[in-house]
Amino acid sequence: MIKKLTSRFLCLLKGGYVMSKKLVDAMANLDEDMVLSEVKRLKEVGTAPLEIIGYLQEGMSIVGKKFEEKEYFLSELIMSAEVFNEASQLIGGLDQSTDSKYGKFVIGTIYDDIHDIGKNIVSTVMRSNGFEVIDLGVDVPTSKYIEAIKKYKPKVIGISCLLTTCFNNIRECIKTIEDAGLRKDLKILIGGGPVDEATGKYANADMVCKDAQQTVDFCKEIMGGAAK
Amino acid sequence: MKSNQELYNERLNRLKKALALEKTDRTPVILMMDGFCAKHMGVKMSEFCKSIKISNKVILNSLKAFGEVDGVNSSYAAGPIFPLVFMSKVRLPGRELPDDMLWQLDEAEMMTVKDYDVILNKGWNDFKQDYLKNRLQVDVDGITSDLLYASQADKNIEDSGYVVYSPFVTLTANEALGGGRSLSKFMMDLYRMPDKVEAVLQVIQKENMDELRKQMRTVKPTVVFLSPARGASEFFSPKLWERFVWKYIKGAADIIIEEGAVCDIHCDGNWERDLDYFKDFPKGKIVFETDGVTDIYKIKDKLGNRECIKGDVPAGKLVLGTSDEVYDYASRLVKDMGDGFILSSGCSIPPNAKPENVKAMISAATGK
Repeated sequence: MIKKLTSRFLCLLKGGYVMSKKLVDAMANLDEDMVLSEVKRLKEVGTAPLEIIGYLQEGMSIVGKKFEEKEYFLSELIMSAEVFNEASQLIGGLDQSTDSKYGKFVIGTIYDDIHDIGKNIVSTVMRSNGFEVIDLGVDVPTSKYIEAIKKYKPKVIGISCLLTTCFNNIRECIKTIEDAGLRKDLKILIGGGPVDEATGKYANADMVCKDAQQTVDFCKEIMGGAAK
Repeated sequence: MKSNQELYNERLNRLKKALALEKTDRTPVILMMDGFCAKHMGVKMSEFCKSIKISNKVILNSLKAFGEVDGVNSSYAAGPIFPLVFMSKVRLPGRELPDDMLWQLDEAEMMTVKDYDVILNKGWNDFKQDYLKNRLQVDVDGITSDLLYASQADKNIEDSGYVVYSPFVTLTANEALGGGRSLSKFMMDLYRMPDKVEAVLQVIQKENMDELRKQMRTVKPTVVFLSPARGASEFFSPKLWERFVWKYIKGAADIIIEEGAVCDIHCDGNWERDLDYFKDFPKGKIVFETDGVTDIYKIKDKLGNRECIKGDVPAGKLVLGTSDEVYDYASRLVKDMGDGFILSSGCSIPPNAKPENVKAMISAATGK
């Protein structure tokens, strides 16, 4: 406790604590200029990069809450993710694995489908909420998902799909993952315009997510506190 | 047996009554379909996309195979002309995609922030021509030449006794930038340079609307299809939506109504938050076309006594459901929506929809 207070006090002396509240609020309010100037200030007073990222992520949690409460919408989710990315680049010296609180999340758009808007939004929002995102891109074959599952050992993977003509591809992909014995400790979520509960049942997915925030919430539930 | 002309008149009359919220002998059925027709008729997508003449023939054959329906949204395939309206590249079957795959928009940030100044200085149409031809490398002349067959395509459908529901299609101004800049970049622009985006949208809107009026006076359509594409309430905060989406829907719809047509607003996604805005239109002059994401019962509750509703058998149900499930769903709609309702799929019938499910949907209205 004493150690914690001392650290806070030192931080306050350096201008970090006061600024951090400002940074959390600026992030939550999507005040891009304020976020960037506060990140610069915190960096100049020697605040650790991980601590700054922590403030940004705290702000992102508030963004998530506002989205759930319908105060924010997709436009705000996209803007918040962009501001977060800019701020992370400004901090520098971090890679995703060091600032990830929850571990790895693999995502891709299923093969024969090149749509990437939804997938990209989920990727950036997940990243800014403390997940290490491995984005496999669009038109992703089953073999690439399997390779990524073996390599990164994620607890959750996401399959995006905007075409009903690709429902069979999702189903095949999930079955192949299962047949390869890789589904035991893995949750598979799917999402995209026409994807609904019936599609989830047809494809044998664990979860259907209708938006990026639902993906964040589901993954936090599954991966919360998970070892990286 | 009725002649094709008699059938056409009967179907058009039925549709017009539904648009005006009047009682009809049965609920009209309009099929929104293009790629589906290729699969239905066993034609490769690459062949289907070759020309308007070919897609028109395939769509007509598909319509005839279903028999008792009132009409079709469009008389030819929309995919190949997508770049002209969405300001994005499109990947086509047999060109960038395998022969039998559906076309797909290839969205990327093709328009830059600097282009905003060019549009403000040179105007939208000048910019657009150069952008489509030189940056997107779209064969504008080829597409324009193919489009010369469009009125004959409509006539072919009508001569066979079916109505072409919306021979005239337009997009709201915001979608030109949403497509060209990409949706994400466009949304960021709304935060970073709202005044400039608004100025650009006004230029686009003015030029688009001048052209719309001119063309409507030539074509004299009964219904004009207006797509805000990705303009759903669920995508934007209320302030942004009102300033950058609704303003342009309202502006375009007002002109369409002024020019004597009914405006079909194609509302993909969830619009529940903003349904009250649609009360601003005069009674019987708007169709709220829904893809099944907005609760159709809420649309009926808020707007049912003012506007016609079109929809909304979900695409997923047409693909994965059984005929009985589709029939039950569509029958409930027919019963619950009452007058001022057009039975249709939610957005387009997907290419891999089961034909027996489409038949089941039609049967719910026709009883056949």
